[in-house]
This record gives sequence, structure tokens and C-alpha cells, in this order.
Amino acid sequence: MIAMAEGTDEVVTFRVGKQWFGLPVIAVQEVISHQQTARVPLARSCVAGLLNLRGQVVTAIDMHDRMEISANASESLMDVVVCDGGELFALVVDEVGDVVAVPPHTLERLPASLDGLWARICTGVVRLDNGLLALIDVARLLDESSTRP
Amino acid sequence: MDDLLKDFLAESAENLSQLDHNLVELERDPSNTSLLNSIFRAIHTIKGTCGFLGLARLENVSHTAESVLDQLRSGVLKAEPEVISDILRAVDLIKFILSELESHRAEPAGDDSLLVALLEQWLTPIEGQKATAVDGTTQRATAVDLAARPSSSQPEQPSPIHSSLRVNITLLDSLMNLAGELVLNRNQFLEMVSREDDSALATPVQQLNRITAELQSAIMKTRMQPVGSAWGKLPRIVRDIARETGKKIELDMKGAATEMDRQLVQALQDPLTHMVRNSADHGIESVAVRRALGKPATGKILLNAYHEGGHVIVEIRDDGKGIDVAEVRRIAIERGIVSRELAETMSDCRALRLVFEPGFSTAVEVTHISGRGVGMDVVRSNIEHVGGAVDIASVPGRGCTVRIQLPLTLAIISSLIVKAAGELFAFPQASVLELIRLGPDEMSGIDTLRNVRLFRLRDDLVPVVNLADALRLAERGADEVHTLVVCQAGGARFGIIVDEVIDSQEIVVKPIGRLARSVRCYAGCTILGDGRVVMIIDPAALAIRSGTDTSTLSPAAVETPAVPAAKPDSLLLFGIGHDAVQAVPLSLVARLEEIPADRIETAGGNLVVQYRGSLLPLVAAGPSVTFTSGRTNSVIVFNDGSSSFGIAVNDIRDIVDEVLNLELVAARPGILGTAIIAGAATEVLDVSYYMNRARGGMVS
Repeated sequence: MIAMAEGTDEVVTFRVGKQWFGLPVIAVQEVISHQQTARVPLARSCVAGLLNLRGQVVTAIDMHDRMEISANASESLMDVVVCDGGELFALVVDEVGDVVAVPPHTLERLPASLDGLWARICTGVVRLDNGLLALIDVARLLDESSTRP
Repeated sequence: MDDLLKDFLAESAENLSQLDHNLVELERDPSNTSLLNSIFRAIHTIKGTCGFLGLARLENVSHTAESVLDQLRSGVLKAEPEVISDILRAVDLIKFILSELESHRAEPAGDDSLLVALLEQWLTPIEGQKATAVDGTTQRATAVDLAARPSSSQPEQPSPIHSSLRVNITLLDSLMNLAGELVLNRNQFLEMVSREDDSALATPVQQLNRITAELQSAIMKTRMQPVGSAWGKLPRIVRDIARETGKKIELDMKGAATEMDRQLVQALQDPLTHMVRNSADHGIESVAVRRALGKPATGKILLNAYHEGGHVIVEIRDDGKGIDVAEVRRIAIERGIVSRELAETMSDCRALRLVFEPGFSTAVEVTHISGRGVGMDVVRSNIEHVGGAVDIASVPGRGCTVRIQLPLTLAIISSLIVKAAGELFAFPQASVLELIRLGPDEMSGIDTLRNVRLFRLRDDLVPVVNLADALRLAERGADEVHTLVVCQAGGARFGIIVDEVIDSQEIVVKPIGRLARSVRCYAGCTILGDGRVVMIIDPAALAIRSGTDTSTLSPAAVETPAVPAAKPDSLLLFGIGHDAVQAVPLSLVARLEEIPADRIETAGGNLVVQYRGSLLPLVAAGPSVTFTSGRTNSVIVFNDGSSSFGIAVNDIRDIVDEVLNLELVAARPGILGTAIIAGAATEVLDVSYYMNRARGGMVS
């Protein structure tokens, strides 16, 4: 019973550029339409700014920059709010999709040839009808040491 | 039962926190009966209650300790170090049992017969004789002790609290947060009302404003704690180190009543303990060494806390051997903290601050008292974590001073909201000295020396930076008029140019997320009335970042490019007409002034200028210096103790760092010689020659 609960994760899917990613549903606090952010001059390039979520200050992460996916300007942006280490982050993504169940047996290993950054952030891939879904580890995504200055 | 136990633990913790301090005090002042009585009462209370709660082990220890104290009270025993040591041991055991009680709800198993026997020695009649036998030495020691100590330092008596209530700290914290949210909410209302001219809400919102302010300050006060509560352990620590190392150390504590936020007091505790330990263990020399050096046998450690300009300053000062800067340099190089070149060229002040770098520890021998791997870097990071700063100064052979600066509170500050390059930023009001409107004239009056821009603020040159430049914001406001925010950070003043000042308001400081925190120039962020998030600038960090800071430069921020072997001097280059350039070492220069040629007068054949209400003698730097009516001359002002004089030149050209290597010795007076400076042969001015001429001029 417990083992099953551990294995079968539900993930929130979102798209950055053409790539779909998945985050464990438990890590996601809410999804909101993109908010205006205050710039943080001199901060790391993935920091899109700070936004005000009902009185709480949230660090917005530009997922295009973080995942090194080139941005296309015409997208309608969404913010996926996640909590890590007691701190709130808003992942700025292009589109938020469905919540999908990922049974353990569908989870595949990362290809060995995956580039270093993605290999550090992703935990596995899932084959979906419309392409591959890369599962992201929140803590690793928000680990400062792998971000660009 | 559980509640009773909880109350007992809380009450005992309060009693015990004062006990260490009181016992050490008693040792110094054995005749103080009120002190002795309060110690006796504390132990007695613990004994009484634990008997009631059936805590046998605790009762046994406290009962024995109480009996010894009773002997002291009745005068059978004298409060000499050995007795106090044993009582302190009993107090330690009591503390240990209490902490076990707190975590396990039961007394730990253990045998205390040794300690009880130790204490009981003092109770038997034979030991009573022993006490009398050593009586003579005790009295002598006390007499020496009293003689060495200035009689003025009377410890402040702890005042009993008559009407107080124990409140859970998390409750206070959540009250504080709620007050913060209320302030934001009030700001929103204030902004709404200000947009409408004749709002029915105006009066109630004004009321809300006032009440919020009062509520906020009242809640803030509930969280205030005297700094002294972080000091409670220190007398005991110093005493133990002194006993163990055979040193004589006196700990003097001033300003224990200075209040600051609870969170800050907590943050201060460990760094303070560490530094006092350092002072006692490594700083203060042994009695023999001190005598040999002609110092008083008793070393002194002074703790001083006071308020200064919106900050709390805590100083730890000792009169020990100080820190050997050469040793600091050597270790820093050895441990790879700085390169040899950098270490050798940095100033002593800056080299000293290397002790705050991670991986540094000056203790040559690691004793078990300090030097356990927790270094000054932890001290600095703890202090900086709460928005404070720490600095160190030392005079070899005379002692060492560590100065900690902390904000009064972490939560709510008054701030100035400014705009730069279209973005809003907040400045902490506490660090803003004044605002100056900069029109086109004033902007053009900002001189550039190398890459430092200087603004003439009354009599001083103040380095300035443009906020938009410092933060590398692309677009600049096109406005002609800017505002200079003059800030104070550390010992230095400097200016930050912004496009305009929008407002001044109370803001709630919110921490910035870890990914944005790596930028050192922000003190946090806040949410304005309209919901916008705004970064709070930390002026001191900004100054360090942009290289305008001259006093409290953090060594981490210093990156000097390849440095030549010899020490370079900063040289001031100036024009003396006919395109000729001369140089003078900047270290000799007191000030630079721009003086209109028309204001330069002749008195008795000598040039003078009215300057700061008196006459400043001037000497032209050679015959080619021209004084053209309607234009200004630069005057390099030199200071010779009491008197000043100026050397008039045509203009200031640059400041360069160069190894001063005189290659040709002067053929004429007023010139030391010629050196290659910035790639060109340049004459170096002989300041003493001009000084004599200027003096001579005044006398005749």
C-alpha cells in the first residue's frame, strides 16, 4: 500500500519552448497567470525577478534561461508556484498542461548522452502520446550551484 | 504534573541564568551579603520544588550545595575560589539534570556521590579548619584583586521584575508578522485616500495610521531584550579560562541594558562567546609575560554596547598582545586565502580582516578552550546573516578591538523610495544623511579621478556612484535633474545618484530568496502599498561593490590585478601650465579645492586665499602656473599638524598607482626628481620645499 503510494506519482506538466516537463504534484503549491515582477539587478540570469503573491515575496525563475531553452516572445506565460526549503519560487513557463499519473514502470532512465545541466536537474523521462516528458527534481532545479551567474 | 514540571523548568532556567554570573561576582566581592542571599535563594527554590516533584537526584545535589551556601552565609566559610568552583560544579550538574528533565521528562540515572562528597568536605568541622587555614591567602588574594581593579566599576544590580507574564516566543513572532502585514495594508489605504481629494475615509484612515504605528512600536518593544542577556555566560567562561590557564583576567561589561530585537540578541550570543573566549585564551598574556612587558598583571576584557545612529554597536576590547599582522599574512598565504602578491601589498587594516575569511585560525597551538575549528568566519557570517557588520582593529602589544554593528530590528524600517532607470528602490532611512538636488551645474561639478567620481560636499570630497550604473541598469533617466543621496556606512560618507526621490515610508523588510541573495548589495525587499515588490539597497554593500568605500572594505570584495613587487603609491598628477605635468604622492594631500582665480589675493607679496574663515597661504607650483581671471585654479591643500597651506596648480589630471622610482635627481629646488609615471617622465614635487616657502611667506 505504502510502496504503491510512493511509486505512483502524479505530476503537473508544463511546457518550456517545445519541451514538456513534469513536477511532482506535491511540490506544486499553485498555478497562476504570470505576474508582473520586480527586477533584481545583478542577480543570476535565471532570476526573472520578485513577485508579490498575497503579501509573500516569491522569486520568479525564468525557466527558459534555467533550462537553456531559447525564448520565443509571443508565448502566454504562466507561473508554477513551488515551495522548496521553506521558500516560494514561481517557475515562469509557457503553458501548463494536465496533471498526469506516472506509474513507476513507465518511468525511464535519462539517456546517458543527455547534456550535463539537464542530467543534473531531471530524474527521468516518461513517454507520453505527444512526446517525452522530462521529470524535474525541484531541489536540484533550484540549486544555486548549477545556475549561471 | 506535566504543567507543574514545565513551570518548574522555566522558573529554574531563569534562576540559573543569573546564578553563574552572581557566583563569579561573589568570588570578587565575598562580603556582598545580598548577592550571597540571592544565590542561596535560587538554589533553595530549586531544592524546595524538586522535593515536592519527587526529583531525588536534583534534590540531593541542590540540598548539599545549599548547605555549603548556608555556611558561607553564616560566615563559617569564606567565599574563596575553591568553594566557588565546587558550587559552580554543582550548578553545572543541576543544569544538566534540568536539561535532561526537559527532553526526557525524567531524571537521568547517575551517581553524584563524588560531587556531594566534594561539597560535604566544606561542611565537616575539620574542613572548616582547612578553610580557616587558607583564610590568610584568600584575604591577600582578594586585596590584590581589589587593588588592581578600579573601584568605580560597580556592577549593575539586576532589578526584580514585579509584573510580568511569560509569553511564548512563537506567539510574539507571529504578532510581529501580523503587524507587518497590517502596515502594508495601512499603506494601501493611505495611498487610496491620497488619490481622492475629499474622501469620507480620510479621517478613519488617519486613525488607522496612528493606531497601526503605535501597535507596531508596542509589539516591537515586546521583542526587545537587553544585550546583557547574551552576556550571562561570559563571566563564567572568562573565569574558567583564567583559572585553567593561570592568567588574571577581568571582564568589564558596559551597556548591558542596551535593548535590541530578541532575534538579534540570539544571533549575537555565539559570536560574542567565541570572541571573548578568543580574547581570554589567545589575547591576554600570562601574568609573567604581562609583568615582563610592564603591563598590569590583570588583563582586561571590555564589553561595551551602545546605540549609534539606528544601530547597536557591541565592542569587545582587550589589552592583550594584539594580533600579529605579519603572522596573519603568512597564514593567509599558507592556507591559500590570498595570493602572496595581494597579501604583501594590502594595507595592515585589510590584512587583519583576513582573519574573517573561511579556513583561518590564528591559534598557533590549539587549546581545548578555543580553536576548535569554529573560526572568525563563522562569527562574520552569523553577524552578516542578520544584516550586521563586523570589523577588527589591533595594535600589536596593546590589544585588539572587535566591533560588531547590528541593526536595531530586522522587521520594520523607515525608508526612502527612489527611482533610478525607471525602477523603484528603497534606501534605509537610517543610513541616509542628506539629499542634494543635482542640477546640470552640479552634475558637471562632479570630478572624475581615475574611475572614482567625486562630489564636492561643502569641504569634503565624497565619492559618488550612479545607482543605475552600479546596478548595471541599461536605460538611464533622461532628466537633467538628479538627486544625490548621501549615505553613511561604516566610517565613510558617499553619495548615490538617483533619478528622483518618490516618497518616504515605513516598510516591512522581507528576506529575499536564496537565488537572489547572492547579490550582496540588497538588504532585503519590501512590498509597497500598490503591491509592487521593491528591492532595499544596502548602501554599505553597494559602496564596497562599486569600490567607493574607503574604510570598511571587505577583503572578499577586493580583487587586485597583478601587482608589481614593490608597493605602489597613489600619485596625484596635476598640470602646471604649458602642458607640463607634475606628481605628488596622494598620501601627503589633505584635500583638493577648486578656487576661482579672482579669489586668490596677494598679501605682502605672497599669495593667499580666504578659506574656511581664515587665510590659506598659497604657493604656485612653478612660474608657469597661470591665474586667469574668470577661471578656476586647482589647489592642493597640505596639512602640517596645525597649519595648512596650498599649492596652486592649473588643473588636476589624474590619480595613478605607480611604484615611485626616482630616476633623475632634481636639478632645481621644489622638485625631488623625475620618475616614469603612467608611461611619461614626470617631475615629482618636493612638498617640504613648498611648505617652507609657504611658512616663510606667512612669517614675513
